[in-house]
Amino acid sequence: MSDPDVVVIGAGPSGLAAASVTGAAGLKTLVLDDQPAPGGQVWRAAEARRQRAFPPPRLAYEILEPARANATIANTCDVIDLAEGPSVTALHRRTGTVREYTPSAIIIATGAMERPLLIPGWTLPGVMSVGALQTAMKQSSLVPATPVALVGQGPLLLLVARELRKLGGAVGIVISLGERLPGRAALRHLPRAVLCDPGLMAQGAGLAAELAASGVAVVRNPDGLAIEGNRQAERIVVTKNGRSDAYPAQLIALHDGVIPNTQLTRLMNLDHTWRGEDEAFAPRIAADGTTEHEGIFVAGDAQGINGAALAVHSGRTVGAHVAQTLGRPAPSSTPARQKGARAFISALYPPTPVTRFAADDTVLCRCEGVTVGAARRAMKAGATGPNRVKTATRCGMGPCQSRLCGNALTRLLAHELGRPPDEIGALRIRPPLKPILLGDIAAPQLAASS
Amino acid sequence: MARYDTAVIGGGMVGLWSALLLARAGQSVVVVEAQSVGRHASSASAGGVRSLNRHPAEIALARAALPLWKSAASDLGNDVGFQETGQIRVAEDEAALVRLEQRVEMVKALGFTHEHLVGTNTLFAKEPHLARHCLGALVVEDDGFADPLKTIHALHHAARTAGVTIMENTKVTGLVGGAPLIIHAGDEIAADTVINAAGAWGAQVAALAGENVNLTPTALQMLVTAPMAPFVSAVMGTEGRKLSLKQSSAGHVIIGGGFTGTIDGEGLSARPQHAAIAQNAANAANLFPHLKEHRIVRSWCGIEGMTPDGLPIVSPSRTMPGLIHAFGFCGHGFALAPVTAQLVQSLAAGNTPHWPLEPFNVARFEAAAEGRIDA
Repeated sequence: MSDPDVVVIGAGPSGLAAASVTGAAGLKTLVLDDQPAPGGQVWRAAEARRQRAFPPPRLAYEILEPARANATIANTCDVIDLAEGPSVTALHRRTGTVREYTPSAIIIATGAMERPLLIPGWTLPGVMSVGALQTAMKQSSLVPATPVALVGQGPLLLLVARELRKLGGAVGIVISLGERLPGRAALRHLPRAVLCDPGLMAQGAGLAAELAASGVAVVRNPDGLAIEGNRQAERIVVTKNGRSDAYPAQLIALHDGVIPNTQLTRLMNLDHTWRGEDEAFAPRIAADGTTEHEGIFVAGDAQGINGAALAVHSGRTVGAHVAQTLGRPAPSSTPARQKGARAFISALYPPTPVTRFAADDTVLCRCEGVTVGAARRAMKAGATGPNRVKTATRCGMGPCQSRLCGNALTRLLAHELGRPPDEIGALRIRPPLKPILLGDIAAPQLAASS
Repeated sequence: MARYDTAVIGGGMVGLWSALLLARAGQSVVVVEAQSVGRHASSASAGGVRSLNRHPAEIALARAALPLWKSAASDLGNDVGFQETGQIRVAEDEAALVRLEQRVEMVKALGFTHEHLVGTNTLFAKEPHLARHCLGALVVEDDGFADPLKTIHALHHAARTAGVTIMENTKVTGLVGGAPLIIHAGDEIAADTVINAAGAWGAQVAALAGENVNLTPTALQMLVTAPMAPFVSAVMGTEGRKLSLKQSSAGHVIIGGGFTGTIDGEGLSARPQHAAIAQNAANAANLFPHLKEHRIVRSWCGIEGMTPDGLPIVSPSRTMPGLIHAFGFCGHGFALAPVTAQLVQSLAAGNTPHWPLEPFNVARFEAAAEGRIDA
């Protein structure tokens, strides 16, 4: 296609919603997405799963179909750079071609990613994230042949427990980080959550009741947790009230909620602020998506975690604002929806302190094999921020561009140095945003020296 | 008011190494750094320890720096990752080969013997994975490279151990001549000698002393690949194209050569540009085609000061007695840092340095401005 007017990065709820609005307003809209099919993480492979067990909710198709009709969706596409102008550079993996687009507006709709959960042994083969396990089930219909130990907390963990059992897999044990009943902090938000989002609350209660009725062993609120094994996960050791029990487990899925994916907003040097309820940074963004860079907008959970339904609303709002900015009539945005159940969910599953289970020899940065102890030693030697720990230890220098360790490193520094995360800051993000073959990125012509 | 024998403005390679030598000689020394130690050109450096293809004025200094790098780890008390791998500059076409031949003659005429030409047999025996269109190369056997991050950390640690006071996040806003000199940096700092080792910001410090230096801040860009099996031993460059390429002991390939990124609004940070990454990658793949099948995982930039003649300023100030400049290394100061520290030490003591410093004198810019030197 010729150069688009609008490029949306991410084909999840907010990106698809934004694209359908800008597309319908007559703006040539291109959606770039790294997955094989649109839907994002939450509605992954929605079109293929329509006839399968557990298809996404109807909302997914209500958003996806107009996006298909009004915009071009390019999947298997890695965004590798983003710059003022604005411009976006992407690798189309199917063809191995790199293209730079210079649209009038770019909407960053990169959603959420899982919060790291540091447990000794988390890098052993056999350990994965709950999100990765769900991806395997949703996208490839892969169901583990061995019982899975689910470790952590959050709505996604409960949902995956159901999906696993319904698809013919087995949950071996659940190790839940909290207590069985909501504490006072969560109960305070319960009435509003039930009032604002009764559907979601009923679904959550149903998932919890289902797990309780399933007979799966549940261990709650452990004092200590470690995954052990010789070259592969073999058992989880749970310490509680001074007693240690080992539970055999070859496949272990970890989860501690989700946080905004800030790789692109960090690359653009946008102003970020720490959101205590998420224990994560989020860019400081107006509700209409405007950022301090002209032509660059942010929509959905990339602004802060609010869930799929509100991400759709955010995508529509930002899409309408972009259309108006570019001089096109657009539907006036609907009144902002209440952030119904989010406060309850955040209080029910408070993010796990980064040092709750981690020991000095627990891996912090998996790419470069940097331990929590190595980061602590760098702090003792004077490192006061994540980029100093990085240069001292190589933490965050590997191919994942600190997606797995960045949040944990900021929190570790804040904890050890007793300073607020806003002062600690985050690791710098640099292109390429995804590792890219040198042959794919190399310019066709050689450059002579000046 | 805090009082020191010497205040060093800038906590990069040159500033820290100078501070270390002065402190070891018994002085009280403070380093005043606007951001954090080694934040820019020092840690973003390619880490080349190169006497190959130096400007004639820098050859003697680069040769003198080599033994200092060999002993740097024991001298600083921590590993700096130095490896004596040799440096190679290949000719990819006839015209480039002719230029390398002329270069060897020129260097010989100056009395140096460290650079020599090799033909294809020797070249491909040294570097078997090198593309076969290469026609020959200029080689220095005892050059090599060090790890910039390890070096900065070793220097930082050694300087602190030697008693140097290091003030980070402290920007110098004023400089007043006299005895002692007074630095305005939030609080006032008094020092008998002030070293301007402010890198890309060196001209701003010189301006505080009323001295005009033509310095362009430039964001030099580097790339690194995922680790791969060893395939290259020397640090590789190519005549007529911007490239430096080396493989770390862990297997990462580090690619640079002077491509530039963009400096952010306030001039305190920089980021690589896609187009420059693409060109740098193309130059690398032209020498080692198999690199096309490996992934670039990261790129970064550091801000460096470039002068019109490509040479640094290592010179007493002309306007403010007690102020000594050592900045503007134009992207090739890493290797020179230990020897620059020695020069700074002799200038600070009022001694005549071992090597002629006329080409690095700050006066050359003022002379150029007055039209006395044909630029």
